[in-house]
Parts: sequence; structure tokens; C-alpha cells
Amino acid sequence: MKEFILSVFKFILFVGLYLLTNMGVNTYLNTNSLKVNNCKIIVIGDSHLMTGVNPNFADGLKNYAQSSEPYLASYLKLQKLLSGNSEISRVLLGFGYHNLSAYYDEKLLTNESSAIFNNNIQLLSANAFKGLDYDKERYLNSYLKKQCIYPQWGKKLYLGEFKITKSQKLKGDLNQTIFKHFYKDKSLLKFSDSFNLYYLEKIVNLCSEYNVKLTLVRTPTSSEYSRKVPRLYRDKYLEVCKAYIAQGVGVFHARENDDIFYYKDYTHLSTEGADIFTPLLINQINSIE
Amino acid sequence: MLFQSFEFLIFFPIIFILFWALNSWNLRARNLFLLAASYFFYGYWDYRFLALILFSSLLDYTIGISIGKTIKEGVKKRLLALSVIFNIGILAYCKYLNFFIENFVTLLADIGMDQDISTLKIILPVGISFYTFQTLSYTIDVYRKNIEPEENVITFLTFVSFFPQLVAGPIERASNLLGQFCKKSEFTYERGTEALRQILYGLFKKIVIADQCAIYANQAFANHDNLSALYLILGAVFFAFQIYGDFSGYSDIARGISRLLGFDLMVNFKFPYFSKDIGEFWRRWHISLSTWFRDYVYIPLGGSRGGQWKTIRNVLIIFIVSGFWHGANWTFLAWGAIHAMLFIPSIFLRKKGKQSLPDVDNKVTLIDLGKIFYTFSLVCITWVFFRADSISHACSYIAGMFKVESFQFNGFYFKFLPILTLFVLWEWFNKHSEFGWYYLPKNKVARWIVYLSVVCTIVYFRRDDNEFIYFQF
Repeated sequence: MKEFILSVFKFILFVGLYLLTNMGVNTYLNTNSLKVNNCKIIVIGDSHLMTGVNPNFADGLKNYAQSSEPYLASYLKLQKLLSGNSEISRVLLGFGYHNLSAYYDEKLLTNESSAIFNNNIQLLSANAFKGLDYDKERYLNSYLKKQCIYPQWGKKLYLGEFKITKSQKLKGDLNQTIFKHFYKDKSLLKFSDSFNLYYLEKIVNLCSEYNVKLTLVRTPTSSEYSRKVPRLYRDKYLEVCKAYIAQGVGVFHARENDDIFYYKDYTHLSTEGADIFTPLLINQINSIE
Repeated sequence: MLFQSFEFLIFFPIIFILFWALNSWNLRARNLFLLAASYFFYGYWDYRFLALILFSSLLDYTIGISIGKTIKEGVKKRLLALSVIFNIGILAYCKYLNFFIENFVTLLADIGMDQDISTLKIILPVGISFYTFQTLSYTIDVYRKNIEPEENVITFLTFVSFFPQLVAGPIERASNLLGQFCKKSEFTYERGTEALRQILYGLFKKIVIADQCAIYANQAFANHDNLSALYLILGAVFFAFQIYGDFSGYSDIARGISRLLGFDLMVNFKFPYFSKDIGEFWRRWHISLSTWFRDYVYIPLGGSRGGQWKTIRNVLIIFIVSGFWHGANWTFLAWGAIHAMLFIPSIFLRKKGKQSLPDVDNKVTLIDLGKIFYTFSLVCITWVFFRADSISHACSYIAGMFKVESFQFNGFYFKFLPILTLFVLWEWFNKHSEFGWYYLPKNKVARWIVYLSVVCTIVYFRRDDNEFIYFQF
């Protein structure tokens, strides 16, 4: 028995050492700021920006948005990018109605948190969640999977890219999307004051610290979706926009109920839609500058 | 508590150390501890059902003792009937009542008698199909005088609730397992390492093979209307490996854990997808259940003794009942019935002395490979019924598998095929072992590197939300 336990212990040590070595290497690889070439404008945010802004429309425009990205991850990503690239002059940050609600707070507790952790684990140390409720087992699982198994040489999991999507006839349960974004157990979700909105504020401050212009971008959504967004959220959206405009932050959104766009689903532009929306966005930015 | 959870990673080492400490000290204390651990393990899901398992076990314990003490055959029969009625009754209530109500209401509606009868909200206790069959086999064996009734209540309760196999088998027989609780367990280094290897292989099958195949199978079954034949075929193949990896993986882990505690559970799977006909498949798949039905249903019904027609009837009965055991849905009944239909020809073709399980030979001819491929294809088609939500879903899925239309490439379904192919090859070359570790490097460091690679693969593919399929049965 003693021999067996000793053997098991040695094997655990062997596995542990291997995992720890990889963890150390991966941590080291991500301690420094991130240098990217030819990057003047960066797009960050969640899937709405990922599918909605086509970087081919402007030189130096890079779309690093990623699905299910809370502002906490956007903030940490931005920190790395801004500290390593002085030529970045503008940040386009996704800011839709759903970014106001506790939708992402809730996500941290469900199985959808795996996507958040897997994509951003190189940014999210356990300290990043201080004071927040999150699924610790899923976090640990993602950490082991992405940081401990092999060295991620040159791989930046947190950098998303523009995703090509097909236009589709809108179908499926719209209420489900609305419910997911704004409701929990049939009552309205609270505003995400301590999570998404808190980190939005930090992003604003970070951009101002680096003297980088920030534009909040709401990509078009189908008119069916826009009509169903709760009043409370529409008001809050206007209120937040006004407050940030006063601080010099740009805000851009296409007119609502404008049916010139093409969609992948009720809330995401397809590539055809992005090809209409992106020039509008670029023109707006150019006109300001 | 799932075997692949972090909780179990903490739970089991504690149990292991305390178990062996108590084992060398006092057998009764050891069994009592094992009982408490098993109840904790079970109660971790839902403590409310502990009362049910306790009551069910106590009833069978009392009936077993009473049968042993009674001389009158009539009384013995009545006691056995009580055990059968109680166990099957509980199972029927928890698992099948709503199915019968729904079908009764549909039937009434079909004949123009609409009834507003609502179904009941019944939660199915985890593992009920497994432990009721285990306790039933005990009572029947005592009645048949195959075993002596167990006098010690703690020993009996531990036998019923032994945590490695409580929720998804193997369905143990008292003749194999009960006696192991009456003597001190013995540990050897070789048994320990063998057990760990078996657990590792089981985890690999569950996490890497089953859970990944589930992603593709679920996609195929959810979107079967929009997929071309090739992807539907792949979807069925993925499901075949999902259920195999899931269930045989569970059995491997259960057997490995038991072995670490000094107990030997029966072999439940013997590389079933290398079978050359359906009969052989059933001698290799879920062996503890198929032998249970053979010993307690098929043989009492007369087995193959009453001529071919009676044999066919008996085969039909056990396959349909076996299908129904899996769940209260017409799809499971259809699955069982189709297997019966595929099995029946072998009754006519069977030669005397050919019924024992053949070795899966290394030297296979092309004809053998053809037979294996043919059997596997049939099994995959039957799995569609097992996996589908309804008979119409299954029929439309199968119809889609044979439709000829233009082919559109969809890379999604090919992503996991290389790993699956490697897994099949690995199983093929390791099929002479009890489980998949026949070829291992002699050198210790090389061996550890192999284990490390498997551990890393498991960690890499691990998902948090995948229970074992057979928990729902």
C-alpha cells in the first residue's frame, strides 16, 4: 500500500510539475503588452461588433471583438493593446442595450461562462473577479485547459476577429433573445452597475489616459428586436450616452427601424449588413476628425 | 456527484484512505463506513431519495431472511411475489406512470373520448432501474436457493448501495458481490495500478470520446431536416460512440474504483462494436443487464426449450422489456423490438456449441471485417430509435440517411473523425485486454508520459455539464 501511495504521489507530482511549467510559461508570455502592426483603429466588444464591422473598409482598422465579451475582458484587452501600440488613435467599442443589463453578470454563473473564460483566460486572473460572483469550477476548468496543457506560443486567445456570416431570413424565437438580454425569472434584469457599467467607465478613463478617442457603437438590430427592448433600457441607454458625450466620448448608432441592413439573426448583422454599416461608421468617424 | 467532477476528486481519496484504515481494523466498521459514504454519494444528488433506497433495501433484506427461514413453498412464493410487486411497482410508478397516463389519454382521444387527465410531476430517482434490479436478483436467488440470505443488515445495505456502481451499474449479482463485503479486502500494488489505469481509460472514453461525439450527434439529431445523408449517417455513428464511450466509460470507472477498494465488479462491455453478428453484440454490450434478463426473464419463460416459436416469443419479450427498461418512450420499445427482429434469424441459424463468446481475433479475414461493418451499421440504425425524441423523428432521420441528393460539404462533422478513428484503432489493437491498455511501454518514464498525455487530453476536452446518459435510466 505504501509503495502504491508513494507511486501515485510521485505521478501526481510529475503531472503537477508539467502543468505548473506550462502555466508559468503561459503566464510569462502574457505579462507584457501586445504589439500589433498597422493598427490605428481597433474594434472591441462582443459578437455584435464581431459580425458588424468589416475591417476591410479602412486601412489600419482591426476588429478584435469576440463573442460573449464582457467589458471586463474588453478593458483588460485594451490595456494590453494601448500600452503596446502608441499609433492607436481610436477605439470603437460595442455598446448596445444589452450591455447595460446584468446579462453578462448572469452569464458568469451559467454554462455560457465557459466561452467567456476560454476566450479570455489569458487576461482574467482570479483577481479580476474580485467581488464578483462567478462559476469557479468552470473558471478552473478553463484555466487548466488553456493555460496548463501546452505553451500557447504566439497565440492570443482574447483577440477575436471579424466573422463572416450569411444573411438569413429572420426566424426563431425573438422572445427568447429578448428574455435572455433583459429578463430573469419574468422580471427585468437590473442594470449591470457593478460589472459591465463599472468597466465601461474604466474603459472611458483608460482611453482618456492614453489620449485615445473612444466611440461607442451600437450596430443595427432588426426592427422587431428594437421594438421589444424594454423602455427602461432605452431610457438608460440615452442617459448613459448623454453622459459620455458630455465627456467627449463619441456615440454612433444607425437609425432604428431602418430596413436597409441584412441580418444573420435578430440582433447580429450579416457580412452583407456589415458591408453597409461599416462605411457609414467610417464616414461618421472621418467627418468628426 | 459525478466521477469526473472536482468534488469526486476530493471525495474519493478521503474514502480510499479511511476505507483501508478501517479494513485492517474492523470489518463491520469498514462496511458501515462504506454504507455512509455510499449514502452521502447518492444523497449528494438528492437526499430525499435516500429514504426510498433504504426502504427498498430493508424490505428485500427482510424478505430474503424470511424466505430463508420458511419451509412452506407457498409462503416463499408469496414473499417473492411481494418483493417483485414492490420493486417493479416503485419502478413503474416513478418511471412509467406518466407514459401510461399520456398514452391512455391519447387512446381515449383517438376514439373520441377527450379526457382532461393531467400527468403527475414525478422525479425519477437516479439509478432506480439499477438498484431495484440488483435487489430483485438477490431475492430471486435466495428463493431459488442459489445463495444464502444475508443476515447482516449493514452488509446487505452496503451491497445494494455500493457507490461505484449504484447509479449506473454494472447490475451486480449477490453471488458475485455480496460475499466480498463479508471478508476483508486485500490490496496489491498491481491491482491498484491496474485500477487506476482502468479509471483513466474510463475517463478518457467518457470525456474525450462520448462528450465530444455528443456535440456532433446532438447537432445532427436536432437539424436532421437540413442535413444530407452523409451527415445523418455520421450523426448516427457519433451517437453510437457517444453511448458506448459514456456507458462503458462509466463501467470502467466504476470497476476501477471498486478495484481500488478491493472489490471486483463484473465485466459489462467487451468491445461490442467488433461483433460479427447481433447475437454476439448482445453478449458484449451491457452484459450485466442482458444476463439479468436471460437469467430472470428468458429462462423462467422457458428459454429455448420449448421449440423455435416459443424461443422467438421469449426473445421478443426480453428485447422489448429490455428496451422499455431504458425509458418510458415508444422509441425504446421500438429499439428493443428491432433488435429482437435482428436477433431472431440467429435462432434458426445457430449451430450447437457456437453460443459462447468468440474471441475478437487479431487475424480477421475480409469477410469478418465485412460482418463487423454490417453488424455495426445495423446497430447504428437501431441507435437512431434510441436517441430520437419520437418514432416519427427516428423514421424521418433514417429516411434522411438513405436519401440521394446533392452533397454539400460541411467541415463541422469531420472535425472529430480523426480522433474517433484513432480511438477505434486503439480499441482494436488492445481488444485482448479487459479494457484498452494492452500495449504499454515497459519503461516507466515512457509509460508515465503516455498517462500524462491521456490526463492532458482529458483535461483539454473536459466539459462541466455532461452527465452520464445512463443516469436517466
